[in-house]
Amino acid sequence: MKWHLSILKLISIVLIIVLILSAAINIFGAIQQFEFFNDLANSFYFKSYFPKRSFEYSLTGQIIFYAINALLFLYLAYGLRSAPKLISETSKENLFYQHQAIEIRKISSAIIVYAKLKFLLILCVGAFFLIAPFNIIGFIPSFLILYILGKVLILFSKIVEKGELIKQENELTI
Amino acid sequence: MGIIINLDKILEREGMKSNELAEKIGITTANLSILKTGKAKAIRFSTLEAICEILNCQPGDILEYLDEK
Repeated sequence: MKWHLSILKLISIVLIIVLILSAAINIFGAIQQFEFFNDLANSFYFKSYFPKRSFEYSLTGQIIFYAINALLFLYLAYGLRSAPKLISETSKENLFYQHQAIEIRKISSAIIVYAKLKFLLILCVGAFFLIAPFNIIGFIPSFLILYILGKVLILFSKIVEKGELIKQENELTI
Repeated sequence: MGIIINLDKILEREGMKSNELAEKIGITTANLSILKTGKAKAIRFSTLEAICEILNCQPGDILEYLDEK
């Protein structure tokens, strides 16, 4: 079990780092006004947001998209900051501890808010600047996965909250 | 207030110290202190039985209900 938890902890740390790096790339993209990114336009990362079109994408739209996208990545990274600690405590056999449920709830709400805002961002940028409006359909599965994951984590936080109460009662039973 | 613990009174009556009782019933002094101060959420029948046996008393002597009104 410790091995699995170590991998999970590593994944959560890498995920936070990747989110911060992605935010940095997005900020850089917004600042550079895409002169640098013209060559990278065909890369997988950019294709996932901006599929090839017969017309030029709106520069303002791209800047707005990348700037807000960067903020969303940073928000999610901030929301996930307590995930490595949660996994560490579990590997130390400290299954239920104070404020654990609150920490899980914070992570779940960060995931849900991120999923909703990202969906809204793609929707708005698509509608107002004609950037990747068809990507909304492509984003639905990842939106749903994130949304359901957030909801499952809320359920998990409720279980943990009850577990903490039972642990406390058990400790205070003489 | 609800349930109050009269362990101190019975210990005084029997001339026994807390740590001595804790040792005899097999619980830590910290846990006995939790029980005495009313911070305990529950008491096991086995603990109550041991306390009654050692202090020659009835559960009703240890536990008392006080109406909050």
